[in-house]
Amino acid sequence: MKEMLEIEGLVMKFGGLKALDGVSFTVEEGQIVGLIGPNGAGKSTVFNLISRFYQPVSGRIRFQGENLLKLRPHQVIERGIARTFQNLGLFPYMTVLENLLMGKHSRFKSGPWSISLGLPRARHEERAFQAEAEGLLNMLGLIELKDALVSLLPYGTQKLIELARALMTGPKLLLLDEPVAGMNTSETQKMGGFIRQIRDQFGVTVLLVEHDMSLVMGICDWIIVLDFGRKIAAGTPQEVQHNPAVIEAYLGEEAPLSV
Amino acid sequence: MVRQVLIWGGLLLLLFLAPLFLHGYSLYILSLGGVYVIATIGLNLLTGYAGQVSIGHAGFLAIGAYAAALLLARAGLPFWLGLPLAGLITGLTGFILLIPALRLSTIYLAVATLGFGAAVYEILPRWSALTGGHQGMRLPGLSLFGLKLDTDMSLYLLSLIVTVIMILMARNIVYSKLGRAFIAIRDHETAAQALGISLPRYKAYAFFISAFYTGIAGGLYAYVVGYISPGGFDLGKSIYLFSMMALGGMASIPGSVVGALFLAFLPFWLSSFRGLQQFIYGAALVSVVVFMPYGIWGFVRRWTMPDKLKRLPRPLRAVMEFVHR
Repeated sequence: MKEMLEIEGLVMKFGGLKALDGVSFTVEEGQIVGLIGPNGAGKSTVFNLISRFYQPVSGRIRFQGENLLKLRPHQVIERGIARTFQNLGLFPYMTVLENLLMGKHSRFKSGPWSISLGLPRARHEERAFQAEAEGLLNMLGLIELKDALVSLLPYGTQKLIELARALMTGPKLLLLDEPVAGMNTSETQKMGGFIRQIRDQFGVTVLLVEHDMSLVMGICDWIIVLDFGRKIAAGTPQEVQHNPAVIEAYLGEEAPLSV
Repeated sequence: MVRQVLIWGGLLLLLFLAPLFLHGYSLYILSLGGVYVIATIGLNLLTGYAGQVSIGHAGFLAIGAYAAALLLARAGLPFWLGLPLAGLITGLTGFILLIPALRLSTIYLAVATLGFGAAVYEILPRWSALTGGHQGMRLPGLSLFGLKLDTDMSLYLLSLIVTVIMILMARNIVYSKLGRAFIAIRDHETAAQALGISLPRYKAYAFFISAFYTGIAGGLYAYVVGYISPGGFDLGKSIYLFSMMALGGMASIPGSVVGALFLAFLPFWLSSFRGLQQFIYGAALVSVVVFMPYGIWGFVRRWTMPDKLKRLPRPLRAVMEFVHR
């Protein structure tokens, strides 16, 4: 197994608060890795550091051997790292198709002049990417919705569309921030199946933050547990479930029995 | 699709034939309408699409007008070269506003653009060696390969052709990666960045394109009126352009056309109501805001094509997002 993402000694502070206190872990190629922990453990902070929205106090992030910390947020996607957002990162005034085309933004080759003048090259490229987006919508069974305004669709569908948009970028690593938050059981199962399919069919490595334990334990190959900005455990779902430190972090310390 | 081509093609044909049944002043107003259509599209690309508020666009209109006038009168360039050049020069001055736009947004950016408009307005009369001061500048007549374009009709056709070209270009822009990127930075900056959009770069595009459009409009204004002075480019003109955009429909190209023509023609239609003009003008504006929450074009779309609402203009209340978000 090759290491895809290596995180080493990551420290992040917000004012006086230490959000991450020396977190290290690696994500291996082709795996689905879960990042879990109670609220405020620092999971989303890790995502925002990888996406380069935050600058860490110290530590290293390497992606396929390259130092990610020298990149600006908009350059991360070109390396093959796509993400979704906890509270949806869709563009509400765009249609479903336009949202998916946003995933292709960094792959467009035509510049502003050829676009403004409507040169054949620019039109051709736009049509080719449109066809690709329609293909993906077909696969998801969402093709009838392609011209619908995305904000008018049910929440679960929007989550799926956001994931499809991330796929449109042709990622090697997919960061999913709570992909099933707010979904019901059947939607969760469907999403879980889809995440697996992404890994199996497209060979995409997945790192996901999620509170829904049925999903995490069901689809992850490896789980990393954070608590108060520290890594307290890592292992297979089996190992993590029975780790006393994890149980304590989630349920609290066992109260001494009083007689 | 076929229906759309028929409607727009028919409208275009009608506009090209307009000199047959319109004369003099009404043709002149229609020529000016083209100027405002172009300027409003320019403002809409920046404010409606990219979400960067400007209430200083009269500054760009002025720069375009004076650049076109000077290129024609002093440099002796033919207008078909001078007009795009005036647009490019104005486009470059658009980068002046990029500097505050990289640090400010919403109402704070609006104040900076207001300052820009005010500065241009104050500089014009003082730089009299170039601009002719308060007296303004009279433009020599236009000519095309020895043919004089001095009639209302020839100026109208010039205005119409330039306007159509600019509308088609705007359509190309808004239905492309460029237009989508503008909407993306307006509605979700973080997601936009995560998808590979560099904010400084795309804000630069937005300001350049917007200033370019408004500069072309300014140049056309100078040609159509034949005379320019600083008085035509005050704060009132900036507000006028903003109203055209908001009333027609924000983030909509047909909306910009409808809004600009509506406000350009309103005083003309009201000229027979002596003394009541201002009252009716105000009442008309308030009615649009109250009864057409998606602007005039949004209103038309909702009645004529209720099944195709995907590119509905943004609601007018989105203006409030400029105040606080």
